[in-house]
Amino acid sequence: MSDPKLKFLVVDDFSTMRRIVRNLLKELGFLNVDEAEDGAVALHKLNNGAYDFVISDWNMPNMDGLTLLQKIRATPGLAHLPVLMITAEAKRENIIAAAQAGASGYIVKPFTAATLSEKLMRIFEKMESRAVA
Amino acid sequence: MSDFHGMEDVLQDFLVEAGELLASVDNKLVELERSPRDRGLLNEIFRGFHTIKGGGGFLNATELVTLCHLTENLFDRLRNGELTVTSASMDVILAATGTVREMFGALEMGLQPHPAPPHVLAQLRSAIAGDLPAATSAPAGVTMMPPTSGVAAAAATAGPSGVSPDWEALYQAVTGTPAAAAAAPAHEAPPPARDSVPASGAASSPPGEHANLPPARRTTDSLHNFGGGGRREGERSHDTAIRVDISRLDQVLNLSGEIGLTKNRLTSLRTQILGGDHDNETLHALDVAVSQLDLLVSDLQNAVMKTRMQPVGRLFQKYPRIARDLARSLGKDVELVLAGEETEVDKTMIEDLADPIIHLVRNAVDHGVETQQERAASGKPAKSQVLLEARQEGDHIVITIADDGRGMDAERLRAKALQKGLISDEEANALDERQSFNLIFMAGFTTKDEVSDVSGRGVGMDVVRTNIQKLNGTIEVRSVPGKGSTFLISLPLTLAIAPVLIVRLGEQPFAVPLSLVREILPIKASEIQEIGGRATMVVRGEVLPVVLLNLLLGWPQERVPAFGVVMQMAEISFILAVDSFAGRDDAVIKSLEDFRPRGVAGVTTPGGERFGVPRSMMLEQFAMAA
Repeated sequence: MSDPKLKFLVVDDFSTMRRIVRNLLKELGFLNVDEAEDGAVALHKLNNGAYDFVISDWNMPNMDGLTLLQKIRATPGLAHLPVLMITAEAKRENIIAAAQAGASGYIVKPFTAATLSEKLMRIFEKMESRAVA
Repeated sequence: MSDFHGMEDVLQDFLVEAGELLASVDNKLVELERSPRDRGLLNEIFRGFHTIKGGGGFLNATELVTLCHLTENLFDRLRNGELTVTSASMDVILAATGTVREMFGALEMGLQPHPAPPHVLAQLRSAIAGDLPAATSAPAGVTMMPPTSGVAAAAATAGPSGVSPDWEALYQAVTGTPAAAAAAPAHEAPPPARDSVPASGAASSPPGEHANLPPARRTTDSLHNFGGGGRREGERSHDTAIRVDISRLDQVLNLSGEIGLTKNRLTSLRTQILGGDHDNETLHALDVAVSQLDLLVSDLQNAVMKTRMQPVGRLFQKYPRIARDLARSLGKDVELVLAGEETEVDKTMIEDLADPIIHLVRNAVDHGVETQQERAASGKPAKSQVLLEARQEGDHIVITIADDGRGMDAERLRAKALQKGLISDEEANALDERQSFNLIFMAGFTTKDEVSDVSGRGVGMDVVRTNIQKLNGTIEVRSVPGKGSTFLISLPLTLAIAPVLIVRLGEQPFAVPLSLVREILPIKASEIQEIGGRATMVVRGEVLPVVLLNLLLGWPQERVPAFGVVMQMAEISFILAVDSFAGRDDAVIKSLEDFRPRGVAGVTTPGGERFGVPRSMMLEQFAMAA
């Protein structure tokens, strides 16, 4: 399932962070990466293009990551998309909110390529086991 | 010697972006003082520190992360209404912001920042706890979200409070219901501990790195100190990174492509012509290709110039905070109003403008604006406004710094200049109002009898003018007593390519900025009249001083100049007398690094020739004296 052609959408208002995530994905062999600077832009892109995976920051202007996640889950064409939430917070209430909203995973900054890879693999496994079932 | 080996690119990006973010946070802090309950503002400031923290984590900048984390926590409580902004907490926040900026300074030198001063951290902690004097009390205990039954069980397994919450375990607890979108399989193993980082971020540095400093680390440590000190002395070089709109880069790419195509066309025409094909059709095609190339190259030059253009707002951002701090220390109430922040200016120019504008802003707050008592006495509103505005006028950028203060008194300025021995009695009497205002730009001029730490040393305005003139710009001042003063800085759009007029002195060509040239006229010896010991000429009823270029340069005069170039700099017009002129050109001006011949600002080499550029500063001083 870890097809290198998978198309990622990296959502973060801080372009340095988008670049870091993009570099980490590149290290893992994923080269098909698009970026969006907030939830609103991301939602627009998702509605107008085929993406396989969303990695989103939490705290952003216009539309935050949690709202984006909720909107994705509420949109029939997008609801199946895996969404990995990234945030600088290891706060319990944030994790709970993400889980309740249907996040596929949660990762705390800073992280390494190895951590990201592990999270992605776990999400891929989950998706496969669901596809089989 | 860098602590960021292999991460320089990310570090550069981070510094540019986080630097802008911090400047905008600074501005919002100034706004916050005016409307301390603005949730939107609090939210944005919170997000600023949060984002800097997140980026800092990837750079392993532990100390930066710790500081931002605390500040962010404070804003979290402020935005949730658990605390309110007080002047005491504002001071703590401003101190923290200043420390973050110092840490950026260390990062710029490629060094890991030192820990924040203990008192800053301590004050932040007491501000978060609501323990600051005069701070409104907040609910004593930090209430976490009320846990639901299932969540509570999971939370209990998540380890000590605030450390390594177990995402998967929580996840299972929360999404135990079948309705959940992506329930984790129950058999899944708990994630390794390194997945999560304690909220404080302290554990993200390798163990032992900062715990205690064995003697072996001293060398590095003193280097840290050296680095910090170096920056404070203003040794920091200009930023080497720039942010460019992709569409502008695309334009450069397109033009490069088209130039490539035209080059191919020329190469094939060359082969044709060398092969003896001289017919009219081929020559015409050559003509077309060459003029096309001409057009494309000048388009490319413009496109490349555009990539250097940056909105001046990036520069303006930091001034409201400076104005506020200064006004506060002087007991004044000043609002710095920004306008035209989207106006674009060459990047180098933005950097070189930073200091002159700081000086003018400080000057407006310190000298221009009255104390609150004085304002009340003259019936003005207690709060004074200083306007900082940028706008484009033709091929120039005009920056205005205007205050609504007491204005300048021409008579007093003349008296001061006389008293300081900067001008003679005669000169003082000859100055009109506008020229009197210009006295403030003379070296050594000050109206303050006492030197304060803000201003009054008399080393300011002449340096401001010199710096503006280095950018080929001009500065002028207007003032109405009782209404305020206005400084107008006028700058060329870009420094890199300047249209110039080529004039000659003997055989040596010189370039003068075309933007200053009004007209060219022949000079007849009979038309030159001596007025007050100076050569002047009447041009359509206007008496203009005649300035000999060779005198400006300190060269001997070998012949009577035949042509005069009427030049206009701001309010001053004069005739520059030269031997001949050789048309116009677009010059790329290279500055002379180490040696500065009199009156020459730099050299340019169009068409393989060498030209000097008479430095506008020299010309203007001469004209003022004339």
